[in-house]
Amino acid sequence: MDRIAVRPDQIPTPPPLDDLRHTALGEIPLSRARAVADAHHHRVNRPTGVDVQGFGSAI
Amino acid sequence: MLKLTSRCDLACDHCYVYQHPDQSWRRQPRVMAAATLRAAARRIAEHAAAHRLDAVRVVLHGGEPLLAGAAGLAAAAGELRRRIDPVARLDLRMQSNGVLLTPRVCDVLAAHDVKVGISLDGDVSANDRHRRHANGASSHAAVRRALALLRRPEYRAGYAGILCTVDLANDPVRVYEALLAEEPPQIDFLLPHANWDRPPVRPDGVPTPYAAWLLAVHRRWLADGRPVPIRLLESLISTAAGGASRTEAVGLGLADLVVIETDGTFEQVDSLKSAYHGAPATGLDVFRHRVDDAAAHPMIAMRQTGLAGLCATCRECPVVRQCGGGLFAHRYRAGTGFDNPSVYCADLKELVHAMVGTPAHAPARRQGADALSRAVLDDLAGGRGTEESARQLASVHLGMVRALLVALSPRAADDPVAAAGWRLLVDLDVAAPEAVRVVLEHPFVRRWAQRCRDGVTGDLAYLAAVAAAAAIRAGVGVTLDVPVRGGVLGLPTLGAFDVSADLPTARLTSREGGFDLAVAGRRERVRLADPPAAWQPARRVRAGGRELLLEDVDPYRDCYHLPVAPRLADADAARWTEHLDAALRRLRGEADGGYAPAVGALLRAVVPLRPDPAGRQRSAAAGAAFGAVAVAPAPDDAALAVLLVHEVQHLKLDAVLDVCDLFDRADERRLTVPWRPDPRPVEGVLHGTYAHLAVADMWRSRPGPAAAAAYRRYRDWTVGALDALLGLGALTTAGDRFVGRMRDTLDSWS
Ligand code: SF4
Ligand code: SF4
Repeated sequence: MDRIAVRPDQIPTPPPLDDLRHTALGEIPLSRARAVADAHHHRVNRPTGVDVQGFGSAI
Repeated sequence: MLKLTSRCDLACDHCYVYQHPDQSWRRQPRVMAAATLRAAARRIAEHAAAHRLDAVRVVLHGGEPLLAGAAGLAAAAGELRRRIDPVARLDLRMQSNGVLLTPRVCDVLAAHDVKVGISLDGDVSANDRHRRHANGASSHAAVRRALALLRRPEYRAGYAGILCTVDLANDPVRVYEALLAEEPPQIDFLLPHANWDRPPVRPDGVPTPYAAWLLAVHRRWLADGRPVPIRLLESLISTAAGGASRTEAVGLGLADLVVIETDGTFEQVDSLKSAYHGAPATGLDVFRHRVDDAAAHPMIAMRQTGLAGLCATCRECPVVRQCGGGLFAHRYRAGTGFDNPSVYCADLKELVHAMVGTPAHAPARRQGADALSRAVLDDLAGGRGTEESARQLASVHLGMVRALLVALSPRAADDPVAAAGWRLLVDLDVAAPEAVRVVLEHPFVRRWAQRCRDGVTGDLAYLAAVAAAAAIRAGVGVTLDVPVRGGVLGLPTLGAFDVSADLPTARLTSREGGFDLAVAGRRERVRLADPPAAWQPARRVRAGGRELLLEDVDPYRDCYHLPVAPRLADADAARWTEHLDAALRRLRGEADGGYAPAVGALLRAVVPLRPDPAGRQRSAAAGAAFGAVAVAPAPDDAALAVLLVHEVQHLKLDAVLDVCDLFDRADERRLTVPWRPDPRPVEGVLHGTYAHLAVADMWRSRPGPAAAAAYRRYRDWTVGALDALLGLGALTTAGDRFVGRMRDTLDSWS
C-alpha cells in the first residue's frame, strides 16, 4: 500500500487472440487451439445458447 | 496492527479470526477501551522515539474496526495522531469489510488522514461464496456502496485499495475485472489461510492450481498494461529482479509487525490464528511491556533473522530469495511448528519461475489477451462503435477460425482427403498468408468448422476445398483431391462447379487464374476470367463503395432456419446489388452515420433468403457465420438498411461474446420480453436489446410520424428489457457495465 501507481502505458491493446493470427497454422500449439475452440463450443452449445437471431420472427 | 474491535458484522466462512483454531477473540472486549488505546499509542510513540524511526504504520483492524462507530474511530485516530505525530510520521490505515462505511465515517477518516483498504472477493457470486452475513445474506451490494463512497473526489485520497482472497472456484479473470471495475489504487491477493495440517483445497490432478489462478490474472493484467498495482504480483516481479518485496507473503523481508489485541495484549501476526489455539500469544501487554519486549519474543525475533529463520528445505531452495518461504502462517505443521516450507511451496515456486522475464517496471511488449479491452468494450456497448472496434471483432473471428482448424487437425489425419488439405493449408499459410486469410475469413468456413467440431457434420474432407480455394487464390500449382457433395464441388469464396456425377471426390490442379478438374475420366479446365457453364462463380458485387459477396452458392450458407434462395438469375443479382448499394449508402447519413463503420468493416456476405409467404420482412444472423447476414427481399432500401444494421448488431455481439463473459453461463433463468411471446434466456435478451437499440437509433433519425412511432416502440422494448437484465443479477461485472452503457445511450436520447 505504499507505492506510487505504475502509469499505464499508452500503447493500445492488441485485439484478442492475436497470437492465433500471428502464429503459422502449423505452429499453433494444439492445447492453445483446443482451449479457445472449447470455450467457443461451450458458449454456442449450451441449452440457453442462441444460435440464430432473426428479425421479426426469431430474435 | 491495532485490533480496535474484536467482533465483526460479517461471518465470512474463510475468516482467520473466527473460523480457525485460535478462538481467543471470545475473551476479548468488544471494543478497545480508552485506557488501552492510550497505553498502546504511548507504547508506539515510545518505540518510534527510541529507535528514531522516520515513519510508523498503524493499521486499525478487527474484527471489523467500523463497529467502533464514527465517534470511536475519531477518538482512536485522534489519540494515535496526538501521541505519535510529534515523534514520527504516522501512516494511519484501516482494513475493513466496508459494510458500515457511511459519509459520516468517511469524514472522520478524511479528517484524520486514515487510508482504508476494503475486502472484496470479486463479483457478486465470487464475493458471496464466503463473504456473507451471519444470516447468509449477501454483503456485495453494501461493499460496492462503500467503494463508490471512497471513489468520491472528497474521499478518494483515503481509498487505499482492495484485498481479495483467492478461491479456485472463482474465475480469475472475472474476479480481476470485478476488482478493477472498482477503480482501486491498488489490489492485493491473499492465498486462503492454510497450513500442513489444514492444507488448501486442490482439485485432483492439478499440482499448482493457485499459481495457475494467479498467473491467469497476471496474464490479463499484463495485457491490460498493468492498469493498477497488484501487490503480490509486483512483489514477485520485484524480487525476481533482485528487488524488495512489498508484502510479507513473499520475499526475505524482515517481519516488523506486531499486533495489539483489543485488550492490550501483544500478539504475533494474527494470521497465525489459523495454526492452532493460542498460536499468536506472547504473554505480553501494552500496560506492562514495551514494543521492544514484544519484538524480543522468540517467535517474532526468529522472523527477523531472514534466511537463517527458515527451514533447511527453504534455505537450500534455489528461489528462496524470491519466495522467502511464503507467509509464516502457511508453514505450520503440528510437531515441527513453523520449521517447514510453505504449504503453498509448489505454487510459489511456479509463480517465481513464471515471473522470470516479466519486466520489473513497465511492460516492454504487451502479450495477446483473450478478451477485448475495456475501452473497446465500452465503445461497442454504446451501440454504434468505431471502425477500430469493429476491426478488433473481425480479428477475433479470424483467431477463432484458426483455432477451430488447428483443433480439428488431429481428426483430419484420419481422412486422407482432409489430411492432404490440412498439409497444403499449413504450407500456404507460410507461403501465401494473404490468400489463406481471405478464405478463412469467409463466414461459412467458420460455420463449417464449428459444425465439424460439434459433430453436426462429418464433412472433414471440406478442409481440402478450403485449402484448394486458397491455393487458387495464391496462384500456386498443386494437385489434390477435393470433395464433391450432391454432384457439386464448392470452393469457398470462389464458387461451385457442377460435376454432374455422383462421386465422392474430384482431382483438382490449381493454376494461376483457375484450376483443372479431373472427374470420372473427364478433364475440365476452369479459367476464372472466362469460365465454362458448369462453373458458378461467387458473386462479388460492389455495394456502398466496397466489395461484398452476394452469397448464393456456398454449400454451408443454409444455416438460418429460414429457406435460402437458390442461385439467383443474373437480373435478380443485379437488382439485389442495386438495392444493397442504396441501403449501404443510406447508412452514412442516418443515425449520424454511426452504424456505417461497423457495417462497412464487418459485413462480408449477404445471403438472399426466399421471400416470406406472408410478406413479412425477414433477416437473420447465425452464430459462427460471422460476417454474413441473410435477408429476404425488402420493400425498399430504407427497410433493408434497418435489417442490415439489426443483423450486424447480432454479429458484433456474437464476436464480443466469443471472448468476453457478459453473463453467468450457468444461469438458466429466462426473462419475458415485449417482442416475443416466449420467455428468453439471458443471451437472447442481450441480443434482442443490442439489436433493438440500434434499430431505435435508426428510426430516431428518420422524419415523419411513422418513424417516430417505430422509434418509440423499439426504444420502449429496449428500456424494459435492459432494466430487467440489470435487475436479474445474472450479469458479470463486464456485462453489468456493458448493459449499463446501453442504458446510458437510451437515456441520452430523452
Ligand atoms: S469481514 Fe473480515 S473480520 Fe469480518 S468475518 Fe469477514 S474476514 Fe472475518
Ligand atoms: S516455500 Fe518452497 S519455494 Fe518457497 S523458499 Fe521454501 S522451498 Fe523454496
